[in-house]
Amino acid sequence: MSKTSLQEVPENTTELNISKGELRPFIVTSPSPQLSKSRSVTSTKEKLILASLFIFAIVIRLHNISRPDSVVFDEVHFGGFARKYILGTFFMDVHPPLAKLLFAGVGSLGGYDGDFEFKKIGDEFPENVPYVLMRYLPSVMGVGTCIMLYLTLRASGCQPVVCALTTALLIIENANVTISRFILLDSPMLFFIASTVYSFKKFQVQEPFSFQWYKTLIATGVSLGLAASSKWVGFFTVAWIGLLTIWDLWFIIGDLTVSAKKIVGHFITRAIAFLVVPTLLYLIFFAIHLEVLTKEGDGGAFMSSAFRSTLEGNAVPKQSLANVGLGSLVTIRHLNTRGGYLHSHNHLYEGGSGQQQVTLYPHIDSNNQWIVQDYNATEEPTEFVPLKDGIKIRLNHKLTSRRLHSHNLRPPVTEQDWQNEVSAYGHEGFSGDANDDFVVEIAKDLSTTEEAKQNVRAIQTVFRLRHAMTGCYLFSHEVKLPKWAYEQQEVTCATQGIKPLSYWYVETNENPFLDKEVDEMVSYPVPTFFQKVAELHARMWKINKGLTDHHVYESTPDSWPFLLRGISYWSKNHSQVYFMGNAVTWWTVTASIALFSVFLVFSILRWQRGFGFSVDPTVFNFNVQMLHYILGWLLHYLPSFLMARQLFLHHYLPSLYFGILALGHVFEIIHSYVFKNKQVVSYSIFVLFFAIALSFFQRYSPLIYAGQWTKGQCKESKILKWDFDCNSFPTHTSQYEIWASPVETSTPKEGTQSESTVGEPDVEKLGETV
Amino acid sequence: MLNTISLKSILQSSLIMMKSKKRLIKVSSNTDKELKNSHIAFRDEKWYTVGLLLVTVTAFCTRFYAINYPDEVVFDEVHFGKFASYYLERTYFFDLHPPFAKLLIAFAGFLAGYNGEFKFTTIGESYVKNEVPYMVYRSLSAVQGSLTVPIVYLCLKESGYTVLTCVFGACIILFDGAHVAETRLILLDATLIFFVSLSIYSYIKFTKQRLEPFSQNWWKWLFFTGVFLSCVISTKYVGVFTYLTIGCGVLFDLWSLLDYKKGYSLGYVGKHFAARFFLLILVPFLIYLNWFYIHFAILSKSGPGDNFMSSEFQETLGDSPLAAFAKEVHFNDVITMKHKETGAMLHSHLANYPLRYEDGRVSSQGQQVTAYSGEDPNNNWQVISPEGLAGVVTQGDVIRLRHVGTDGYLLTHDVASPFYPTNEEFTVVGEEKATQRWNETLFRIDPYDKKKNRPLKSKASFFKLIHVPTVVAMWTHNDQLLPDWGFNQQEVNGNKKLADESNLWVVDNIIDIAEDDPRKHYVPKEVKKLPFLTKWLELQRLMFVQNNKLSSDHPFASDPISWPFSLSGVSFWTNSESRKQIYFIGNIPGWWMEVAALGSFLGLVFADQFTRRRNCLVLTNSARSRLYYNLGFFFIGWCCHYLPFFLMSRQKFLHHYLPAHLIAAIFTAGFLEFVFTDNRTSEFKDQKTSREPNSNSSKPKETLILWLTFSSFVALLLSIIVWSFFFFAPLTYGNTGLSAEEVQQRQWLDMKLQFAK
Repeated sequence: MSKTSLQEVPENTTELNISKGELRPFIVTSPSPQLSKSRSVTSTKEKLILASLFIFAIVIRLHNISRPDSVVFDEVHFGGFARKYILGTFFMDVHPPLAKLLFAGVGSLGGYDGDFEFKKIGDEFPENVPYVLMRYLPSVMGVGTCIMLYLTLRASGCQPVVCALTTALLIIENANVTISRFILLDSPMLFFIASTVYSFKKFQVQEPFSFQWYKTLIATGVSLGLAASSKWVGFFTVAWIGLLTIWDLWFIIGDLTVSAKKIVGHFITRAIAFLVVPTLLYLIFFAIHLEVLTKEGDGGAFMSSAFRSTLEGNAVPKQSLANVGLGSLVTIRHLNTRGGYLHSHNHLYEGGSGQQQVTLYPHIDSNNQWIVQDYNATEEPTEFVPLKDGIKIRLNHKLTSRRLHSHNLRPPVTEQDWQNEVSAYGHEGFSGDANDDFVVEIAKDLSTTEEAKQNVRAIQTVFRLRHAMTGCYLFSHEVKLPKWAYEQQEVTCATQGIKPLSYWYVETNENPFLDKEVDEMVSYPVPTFFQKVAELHARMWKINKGLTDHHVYESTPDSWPFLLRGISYWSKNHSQVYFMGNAVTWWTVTASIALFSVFLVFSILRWQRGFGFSVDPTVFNFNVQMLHYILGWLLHYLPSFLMARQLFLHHYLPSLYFGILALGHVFEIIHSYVFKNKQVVSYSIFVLFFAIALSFFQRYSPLIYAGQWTKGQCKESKILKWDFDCNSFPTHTSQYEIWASPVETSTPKEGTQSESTVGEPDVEKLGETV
Repeated sequence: MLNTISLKSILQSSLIMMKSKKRLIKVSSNTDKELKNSHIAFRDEKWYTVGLLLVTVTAFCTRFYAINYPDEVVFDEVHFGKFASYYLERTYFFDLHPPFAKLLIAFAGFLAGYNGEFKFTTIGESYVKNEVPYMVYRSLSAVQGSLTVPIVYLCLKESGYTVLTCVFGACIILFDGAHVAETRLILLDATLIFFVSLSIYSYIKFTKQRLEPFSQNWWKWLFFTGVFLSCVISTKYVGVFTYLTIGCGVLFDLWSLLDYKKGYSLGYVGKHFAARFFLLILVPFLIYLNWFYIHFAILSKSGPGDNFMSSEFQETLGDSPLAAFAKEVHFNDVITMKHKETGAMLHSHLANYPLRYEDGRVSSQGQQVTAYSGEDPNNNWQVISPEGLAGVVTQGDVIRLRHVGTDGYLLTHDVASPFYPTNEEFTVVGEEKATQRWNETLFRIDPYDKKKNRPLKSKASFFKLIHVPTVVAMWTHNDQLLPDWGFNQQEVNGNKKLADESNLWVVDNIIDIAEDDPRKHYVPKEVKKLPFLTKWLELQRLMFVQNNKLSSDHPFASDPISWPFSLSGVSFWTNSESRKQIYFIGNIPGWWMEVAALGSFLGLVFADQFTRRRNCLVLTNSARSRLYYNLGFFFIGWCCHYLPFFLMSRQKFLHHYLPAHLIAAIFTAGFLEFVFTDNRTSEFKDQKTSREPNSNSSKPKETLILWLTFSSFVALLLSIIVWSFFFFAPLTYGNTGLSAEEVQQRQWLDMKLQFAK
């Protein structure tokens, strides 16, 4: 890793080519052919540097990868998802499928059969789980990210020595090392973002419409697609590419040497590469996702019945009689929440009227069955009477013979003025009262067939139920009832509820006057691929937005650039994995961005006062590249402030990557401009800086590798509010040997797992109503 | 009668306007020479005055037409009328909006000599019955709403547009259903919009003084801009967006002053900066604080807002007049109960219901329970706890009521009442029976404000008395009195319609409080003092906290994306008997024209930038400066008043778009004139026009407007707008009933009107 031995590679040709136009000077946008060459790794010497960096990265990233041999942090989720891919059971998650599919692929190559459940943090892996192989995937991708960083910086005009230093800093960046050692989505995503940046930077220095130009263009599009298919953060990268493309095009349009025809070409090729290609890839991975997950699983409860009916082993009724009439035995589903069927059971409300509970229940159950009766239930119907729009009915709960009822009392949970309680009320022989009457109002624009707009038909008709006495509508929303109602979803009658939450439809239907053999039957329409993807996204979006519970280790975006707090990933047997960054790199990145911003404002003000910008090509390139990378940093960072969901320090990693790229250019300006004639100074600065960063890495490495540490060392290392638990470490490392010896293991372990070590919230659990 | 006359006058004035325009068109369609004359006419000061008078008078007509209708509480008048009453009674209340506009409303009430007795509790309550000076209140809004129209006109005039453009811009606001509906009711928006337009106007005036900085006029208009801005932000916090708009202009201004080519010293630019900072930020802030000072000075007594504040703050408030008489009710107290609407007392006496009523129905023959307006010992009831508790009765408690005179318990059961077969009969039964029928003697105190667990106070706590087993509310009415067997007193029965406002009762008096009972003697609260800034900071913090909590669903809340298109509105008020309703919705063609103009502007800017990049200079320099500096400013103003709503998570309503709509109206009119002006450089002129001698040099704007097409196009657009205004007028004013078919005709886009069936 000696850098001083390096000699400079050929001088960069970043000189601006400014042409005098008729009215104003303009920049010739087509880069010179030498530029691309001078910014590639060509010399043997440099290849050697790259190779040694590669080995260094492998050593750092793959060291002791089998440790800890139990489930760490969100491996709970992503290991679990890999399992479900292998088993083929449908699940719901807020992330797109690519990275999860990769883990599943590696897992199944390694012979993982889906037995092990990744149930909770700290569960030990049994022999047959290829967790080491699965962890190799993110580690190798992490190594790839480091190499990408080197090549990207070279492509944006840094000297090899600067690239090597910056890459080395990324290799020993604690947060990146930690995140790439476990079965987590971040490392694959970071790799794809890094390759996007690399291919785009390469693309920018190619001669337009040359083979290399097309190659890098397509590579950028493909990497973008892969990044967006791993995590939605990838869409911020799409935005970055989009803005820079507009920037580039702006100069291309202003370049009068480029013909109008070529400008159109520039537009169209970029649109195809940066929009069409990623979209196609994104859809392809969703197609694979849906192709693999064919069996009904715990994610099914999130989806509509139509969606579920396409899964093997689904519990959705296959067919029901089309026409609903008086005397029909029906189950009624709520359209716009996944609460399920209108349900009642022989338990009473605690509070309110104290009458029988009415809820929504997601599973098929005989308590979901209701008999449709005429509101004036004196005589039984003698023939089939269809449910016309506007008919007044009562719904009799079959098992308890109580009727759906509402009155002016506040519901158990939502104590709003415009909400009334809904209960089941009545007893044998009681003929009911006017508060049992509901009027059927068909929602014509949502009902699918002409016939279904006139009469209520199972599945096809969407309707509202208006309480005849008070005018409120039967309503439900995603509010859970207390334990005494089994945490099922609340059903109310709302006068001012938003319409979508008052829509219902009949799912199953039996009628004494109709015959299943003879009369018309209906079933759910099979959704198309695009309908399925759209529905999945609606759910993912909603769940993502709903992840608002507080987490012990969550943090706010404003704390990230300062590395105020980390995350406890794992803690067991007196060792810990604590996610935190290399503060030396981290803070320098933040400081560089802040300083550059001040410098930028200052130079713009100076420019307005008549002092020109520096025309030195090195400084010019520095300004341009800093702007590009800081824009990337901003685009990946600022949206976090708008998000209401819980956020973690590792959400800053994409931003940090752009920050490190910017840091590279700060080193470059120091090396090639400030100390151009006294490079001894810059070399010594670099060596010193690397040494400090390395010592930081080394000091905190027990927290990465779950290594041995002492209480004393730990306490000394707490510079900020870093809340790793020092008490779990022994006072002296020799204690580890005593613990490891077979005699001692029989004694009960103390503090085996810290209670607070929990992963991100379980999406699956959010959806379970019961 | 009055209504029809004023409607006619509107019609007439608009007809006159149309005619005058027609004449203009005629003039302009003559020969070239006359064409030139007409341009001069369009820029003649005389014509500007005529136009101004015309739009002002029409504006007053549209805003004041049928202002007395409906004579009931409409929509959010519930809030702002109530706040005015609190100011007039000087009882402390809490609200999210800053006090300026509310103080203005209260001041109007004060001038009208109103005492603030009526509290605007529900939509539909009568103003006439409650003797509220609602016409004064509404006139305040209407005057501001009307004056907004000439201000818009003047904004365009000061920006250098022709009379026709000024009239068109003013008419977009003038004939807009949303503006009319919002600015003639007791709401804050009239004040808000008025001061937004004034801020824009004074800023335009200010920028026109830029060649003579630090002159008297320069200082004057800078000062006014600051004052009006502070009025905007003291009305509603959307004023921040107006600040943003003016701020963009000011920053741009300062930026160009900084340009070295101008040759100003840094000290000179600093002076400019300091003047703006002082008059646009510091002075407005002091004015803003001033309203809060007045707010605290007026609201010196405790009131409904107490509970929001800290205890230190509450100690600065004196007792409200009510507090002197309101006393906590304890169990076993003997009380009288008064019906809120009729003022009669709950009463019983030694006489029974007759066996049979005139219509043949049978009664329980129990002891009568009536309501009686006179003082009588038989009005006395004892509050008894079913659990045998003593001490304070809290709201939400279940109680039994013992009639002191006959020693029986109040009871209701499933027997029809004398007049209402649907309602339950109330009666009093003796001790023994009352124990047997224990459940039927239980009543729950259902507090009016839904806030349970607070002590029940005489005179102050209104409640519904809900019968526990059968869930009916005790009710009485005075439209039909009991016959002789009931001594012509009021019938009391159990009402199944629990939500009725007329179910409210209050404990009127506690009889015979013992001398040694602390409740007997009223001790006024000691009033403490807090520094103004401490009070202000507390309130300010609270307002922001509460504002962020407003994120629950509201049936009429809408998504900002739908606003510019006026896709759906808000139902303000309905009357089902006469099938009348007020529905708040914009003038749909007018709003769509704005969207078209805003969109075209973006396209034009893009095209201009693009062509210039390619060395094609299509637009003249003067046209470009108009496009970017004048129209660009209005465009930014629209963006500033609209786009931030997408980032807000609180409830959003269509009326939040009105300031943006106002600026867009100015923009649209200006943009229309721009489009019909020949802005091309000589290089791009077609043969015919370029042959004209003075095409590019002198007075480029005046000679280059395509008069004939411009005026006819404006006339066409105006007639569409006016037609649409009159078509939707029944929904704006709510004074004309519509048949189902007529309602359906007006149900455009996503509108959901009442009575469509």
